[in-house]
Amino acid sequence: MNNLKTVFQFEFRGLLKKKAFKITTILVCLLALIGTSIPTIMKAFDGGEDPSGEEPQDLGSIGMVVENDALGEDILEAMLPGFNLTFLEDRAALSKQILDGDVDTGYILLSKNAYISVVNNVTLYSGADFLLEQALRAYNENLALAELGISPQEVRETMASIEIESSQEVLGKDSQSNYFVVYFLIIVTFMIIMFYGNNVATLVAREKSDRTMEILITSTHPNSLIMGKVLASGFAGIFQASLIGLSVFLGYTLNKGNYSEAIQEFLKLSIDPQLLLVYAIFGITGYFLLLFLYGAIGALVSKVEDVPSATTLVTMFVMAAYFISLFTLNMPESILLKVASYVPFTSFMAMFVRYATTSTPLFEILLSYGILLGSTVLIALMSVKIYRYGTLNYGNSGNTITLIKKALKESKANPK
Amino acid sequence: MKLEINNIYKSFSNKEILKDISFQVESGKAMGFLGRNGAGKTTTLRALMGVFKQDQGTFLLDGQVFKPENYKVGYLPEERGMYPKEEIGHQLRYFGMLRGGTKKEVDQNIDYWLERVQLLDYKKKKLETLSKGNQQKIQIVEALVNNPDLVILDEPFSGLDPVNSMVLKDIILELISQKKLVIFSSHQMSYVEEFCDEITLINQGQIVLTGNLQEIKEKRGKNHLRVKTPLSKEDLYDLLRSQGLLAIKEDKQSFILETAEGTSSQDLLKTLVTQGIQVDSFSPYYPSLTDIFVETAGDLT
Repeated sequence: MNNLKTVFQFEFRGLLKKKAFKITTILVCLLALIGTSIPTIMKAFDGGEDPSGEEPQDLGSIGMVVENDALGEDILEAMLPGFNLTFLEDRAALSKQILDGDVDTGYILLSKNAYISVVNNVTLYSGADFLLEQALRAYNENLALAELGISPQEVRETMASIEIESSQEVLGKDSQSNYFVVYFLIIVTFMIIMFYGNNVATLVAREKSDRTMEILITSTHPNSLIMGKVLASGFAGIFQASLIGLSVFLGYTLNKGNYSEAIQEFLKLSIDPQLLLVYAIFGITGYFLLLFLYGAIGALVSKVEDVPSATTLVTMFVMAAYFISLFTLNMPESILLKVASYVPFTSFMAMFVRYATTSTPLFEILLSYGILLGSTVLIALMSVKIYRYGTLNYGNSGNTITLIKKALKESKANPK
Repeated sequence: MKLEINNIYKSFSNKEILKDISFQVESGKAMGFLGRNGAGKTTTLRALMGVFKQDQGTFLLDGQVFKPENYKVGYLPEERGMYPKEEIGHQLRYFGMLRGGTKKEVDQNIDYWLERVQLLDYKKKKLETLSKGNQQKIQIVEALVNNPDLVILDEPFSGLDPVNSMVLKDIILELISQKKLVIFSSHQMSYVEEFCDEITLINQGQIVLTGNLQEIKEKRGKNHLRVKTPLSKEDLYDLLRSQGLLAIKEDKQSFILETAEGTSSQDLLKTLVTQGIQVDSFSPYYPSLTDIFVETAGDLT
């Protein structure tokens, strides 16, 4: 292990010096800064205009056919302020206007409490429908109240004066409040694992195809070599993620003043230090577990080109962890998430999701972490053996599992 | 230091590659480990370096079991390979430090050895920008930057032109003069003949000859003479047959006379001179390393 530091320094510096690393980091950091500055940028483009100004808003044009003298034109105009109303003779004229695109929406008012809306294409939501319905309801309510000899004004004032105060006390977790940060962290973790996992596998495979392996393996213990490589790649990933995180934080801090209060409140709720701690502990351990697996598999292939196909199995574990976590984010009590939170290949994400969205007992968290940590140590030891065997056996063929079995068998027979 | 290689056996896929390999190497003497392609040289050196474990036998250094990680070893593997896209100076430092050198010491050695092989100007260049021969020299430097006590070079002469081969010979002699223990393997006998003190010949996984080269040559050249004369082979044989000449062989340089035990070379020379025969040269015969090898292990090709 004496050379662990030497290997780590060499590999870490090598990674940081890579053009791909520099460009990706700078680009993503810039994007993060720009993304977090969007409210400021939008404000600048608005030219400082106050959106709540006195100017009447143009909400669109409405074609209206009033049948059976249902309501007067002036009443209807008062009901739909902001809309450009055109009163038409009959339904045919309305259809024509709509089809020609002269009006956005059309209404046929059948009586004071019945109407047909006419549209060209049905869209999700029409503001006019809602407003017309509200206005007609109020108009009819007023009429009914007046008939009963009650002042509609008084009724409204009385209704408005009744207030119910309520608040919610959350005993467990408010999955809503963590949703954003959990979602974001899952995606970041997934991307970093995929990128740096393949990086470790390629690092090892390249040494094999460059035939550097024999010098390395005779210079120092394979433990130092694989550990150094995995740690270097791992920390390069953490370093890169930290830079991106810092950019997001910096961008947010600088532009905070231009964020709406709702967003500020939402973000404040999301960033829970305990949650981040659980994420860091589980995430980093799982990350290294997978990196060791990637490294071992990199040692089993003979050519760098074979890395993607050989790492499919590990990639599937990562994908499984990713999708289970994303799918169960809205159903934290599901059995799938519970099971996944104990399986070491998925628990690093799944347990984090469980912790973030439900009240998970401490012993379950500790048990899951124990399994994860134990598996990581076992896989690290196994990867040293596979590395030792794999790196000196060129031209291996067969599937990954067979090669791993063969490597472990050989390493027993040929301990260093 | 004295390295003893004792009774090494190694099989791969039930095929015996090394069969009872035993020889010794002492520091301060150049040991050439020679054999044809596929004779088992690399397998022996790999087993010595712990790349894989031998099935039987031991490697002892000064009586202790030899573990490469416990010593400062310089190793040039037969599988050449460093990082093609990495700066030369940078990776030499990495390898030197992995092999137990301190940063300061390694940096000094890098400059010294790069200067020796006339590649100091390339220190900041990427390895892939160098020619094959120069890459080979960088590999040799790699084996020396940790100031090793033991130097194990597998086929160091392959890929080098005659001028660079001379440089490498000088380097090996320099290491030997510093009392380092040096083993190098080769299948090119002529390169190593000039400066090897000791040789070990391996053929088909077995040691066929080991010892001091000069002693071997003297032993093999005993009762042989090298004679250069315009006389025909038959006339020479007829003339000297009665004085103990057994047979005459011929190579590009001269005749090689095989004589009976106790034959006096002075008497043979006297006969030629008194008969008035032109004698261009008359000397003891020492077989070349190639001759010894062919004689011991068959054809060299």
